[in-house]
Amino acid sequence: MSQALDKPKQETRKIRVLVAKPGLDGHDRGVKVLARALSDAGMEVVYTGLHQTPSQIVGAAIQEDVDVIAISILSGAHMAIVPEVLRLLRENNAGDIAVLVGGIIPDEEAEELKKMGVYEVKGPGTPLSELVEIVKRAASARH
Amino acid sequence: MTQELEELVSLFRKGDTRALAKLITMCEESEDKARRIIDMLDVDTQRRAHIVGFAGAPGIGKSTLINRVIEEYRRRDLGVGVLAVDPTSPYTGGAVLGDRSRMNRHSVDPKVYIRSMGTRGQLGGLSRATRDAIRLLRAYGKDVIIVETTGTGQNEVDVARVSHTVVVVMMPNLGDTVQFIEAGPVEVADVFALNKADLVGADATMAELRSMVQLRFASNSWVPPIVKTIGTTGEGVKELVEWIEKHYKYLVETGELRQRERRAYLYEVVDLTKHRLSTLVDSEIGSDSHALEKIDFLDGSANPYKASDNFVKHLIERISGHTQQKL
Repeated sequence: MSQALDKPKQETRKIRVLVAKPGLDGHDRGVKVLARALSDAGMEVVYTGLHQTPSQIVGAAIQEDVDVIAISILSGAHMAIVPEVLRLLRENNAGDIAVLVGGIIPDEEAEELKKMGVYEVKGPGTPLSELVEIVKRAASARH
Repeated sequence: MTQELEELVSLFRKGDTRALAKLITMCEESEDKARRIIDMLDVDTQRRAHIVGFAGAPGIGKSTLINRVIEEYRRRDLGVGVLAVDPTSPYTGGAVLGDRSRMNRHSVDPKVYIRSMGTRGQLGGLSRATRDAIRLLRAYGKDVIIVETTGTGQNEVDVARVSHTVVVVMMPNLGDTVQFIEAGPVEVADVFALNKADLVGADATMAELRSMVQLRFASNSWVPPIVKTIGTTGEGVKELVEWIEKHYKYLVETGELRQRERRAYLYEVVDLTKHRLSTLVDSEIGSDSHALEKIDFLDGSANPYKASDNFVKHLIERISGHTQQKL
């Protein structure tokens, strides 16, 4: 048998993103728009639904083998939730998954989150194209 | 790559969830990787798992129902794997995989593994890597593997080729008796779930379903039961799972289980071969429009049948090694 059937196939490394909505606020318009934009950019976007706990988010991220977790928080609970997500990721040997945070985050707290290991923090009004680029960068920093 | 793979496989054998997830990703990425993984795992056919497919139209409540079915299986202390397939956009290659949002509360249960998959160009309601993922979940030790199809409708019968038991989910007021006798998922049903059974019209739909089942399945040795369910509250789910288990028992007792598995295996060989041949066709043409011109072996006499004959002849020569030359 010749090599004709055995030549290397094209490999498709698709970026996988978990879009998560932790805490008590129910404002999911933003994450839905983001999910759509990322999917339009050719990515696979897993949406967790509302009211997720940090351990649910980390569990889902590991099972889904995502490159990036994008967390949307509008309730003000980010300083409680995000560090816990980071901690659980490390604890589960998954600290290489990039975490992005979007929502209403004061500048100084955004800085603090980045120091803790969050890849990027963005607020309302950020163009979708910029968010897509950030996710791509975060994913490629990983491989 | 090989070393990375060996490490992953050894972690996988120790029950590491991340390794399982990464191996599924590799199976999705390319057939070559999938093959190497399956080689290394040496497909443990001794390990049994009940593979249950869920088909039915979009919005009918499959994911919400599965969320409850997982709960019921966990009550019986069984390990559950879920593969939830959603459509990939043929335009962008991207996908929003939303099934998980109905069942994500199980993410913290170490005995439950849920994985969302995009179809990635595959029709028929599943993705190419679904069967490899099933194999991995079985080797990982799951007792029940639930496969949720895209819900793209009447052509969705691939699920019957991978499952032991197919649950077709229906809901009240969705079409009439004519729909029920048309071809499609109804033909492959082992169990019917009439979901959203609290909606007005449920009794009428139930009656229609009953007469359809009588019409179609009466002479079969297994007549699919119809179970009323309400996914949001969990009503009827215990009964549904009991019927799913009864069906498995029926398969074992009648010896049909072996037959089904054999058939599933042979279909997989056929599909794999088709896929490889179609990849060969694509790779002969490449992305180069000059090569595309060359497949018209007849210099423009515009007879596609004859041109295709010649193209097939060329491909056979390539496969048999008579020519190394590409187009």
